[in-house]
Amino acid sequence: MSAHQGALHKRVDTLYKEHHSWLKAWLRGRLGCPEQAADLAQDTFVRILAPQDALSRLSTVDNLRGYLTTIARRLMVDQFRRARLEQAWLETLAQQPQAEDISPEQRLALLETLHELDCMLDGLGQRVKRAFLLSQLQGMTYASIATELGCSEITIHRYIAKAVHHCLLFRLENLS
Amino acid sequence: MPPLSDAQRQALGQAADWYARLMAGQPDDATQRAWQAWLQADPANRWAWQQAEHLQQQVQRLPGNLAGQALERARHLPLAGRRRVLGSLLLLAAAAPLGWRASEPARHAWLADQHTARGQWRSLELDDGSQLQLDSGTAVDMRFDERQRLLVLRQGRLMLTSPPHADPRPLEVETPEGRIRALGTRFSVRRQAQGSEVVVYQHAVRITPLAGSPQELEAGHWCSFDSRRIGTPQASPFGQDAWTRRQLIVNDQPLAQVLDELRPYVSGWMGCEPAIAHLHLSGTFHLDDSRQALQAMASSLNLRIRRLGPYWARLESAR
Repeated sequence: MSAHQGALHKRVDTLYKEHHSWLKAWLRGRLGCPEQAADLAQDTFVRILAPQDALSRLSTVDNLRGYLTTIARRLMVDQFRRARLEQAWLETLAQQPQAEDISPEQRLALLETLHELDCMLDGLGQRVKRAFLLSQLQGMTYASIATELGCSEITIHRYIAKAVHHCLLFRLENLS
Repeated sequence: MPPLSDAQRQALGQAADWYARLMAGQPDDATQRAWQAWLQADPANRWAWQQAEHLQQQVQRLPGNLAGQALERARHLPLAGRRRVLGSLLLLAAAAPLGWRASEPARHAWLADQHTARGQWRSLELDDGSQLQLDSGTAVDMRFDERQRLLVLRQGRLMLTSPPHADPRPLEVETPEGRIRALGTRFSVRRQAQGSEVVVYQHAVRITPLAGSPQELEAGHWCSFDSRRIGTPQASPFGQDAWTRRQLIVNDQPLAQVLDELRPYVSGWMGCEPAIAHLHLSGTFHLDDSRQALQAMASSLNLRIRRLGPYWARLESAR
């Protein structure tokens, strides 16, 4: 292990000893589930170790607990989003008279793609999002969507262009 | 990933516009030619269009109709719900249904907690020689030091067998309701919504509720307790420790109740038609094989199983 790595691990070790229990308790208070709190606390510390510049980042942080809770919060929200989406997926399936049987791997991949799409569309207005989904996923014509949303086809075109632009930027800035 | 240049941002905006135009319906010749011209005009435009194509490929991987409905429905569901999150996270990780986030045995003091996921069981020998078995969905914190041997049961169920040789430190399990001290025994503790449940298989334990008087419980008996009082001890029915063999032994119980007992072990959703919920059944079911368990229930009561994908099943009367 290089000297740099050694210093980083020593720093994280200290961080862990000083703040891990506190973070777990903080998460438990929000999640109500001790097992999840423990896992999320662990994930948070792993996330801190991940970046190349972890050591320099850590040295610039004044409020360590604030930093930890910010990261933990982000991870928590991401998990909640995924869980909500999965629930919605299961409920949607339950309403189908005949749903397809897919393998666990296919299902995982599907949920991952759905989650990415969900995140991508997050910043958009409701109507824009709806127009995009009706066109791209449901295969509706612009004319039908225009009727559905009560506006002109030109507006639908604008909505879709806006949504696609937003998604493209999101993909490039967030996914590697 | 370096930040996008203005030229790139502009090209992406134009690509999005072209995308929307071409998706509108069958583009006429004039539109097609204009699009080609735009592509030829600048390498940035070709790059931007490639990004749009990637997006389209990503979207096309989804079963369109169902995916759209799911995304729409998700908007109306609450974001945080404890039980849902627990179940779902385990589902998400279930490409291999067992072994998600299996904790490694403790190497450092701060990694000493043990967790099992849904559908996962673990047996381990502790430092003092005692044997610990963890049921599915269990979380235990271990506090072993010079003065005590304490297991803090946060959720789920454990079975603890004292070591054969004496140890001066008291061996105890703690729950929010109180403490259970081993008096040279084999016993289980289970956390439930209404309190803690203790079953003694060998010798005895002493239960001390947080705000109540201690009481001993002997082998062949079980009781539940909350923070104030201990319930009346009952004689143990046969097969209460079947979970340690990953089994559930059912003796003349209604179907709805059996499903309730199975549910914590199973990934996904499992239910039955209301009309048959009262039907009684008996049998031994495998906790680690929900397919087998459902099939056994269906055969014994002459029901059929309706499945939607691998994670949704419902027992219904055979028509």
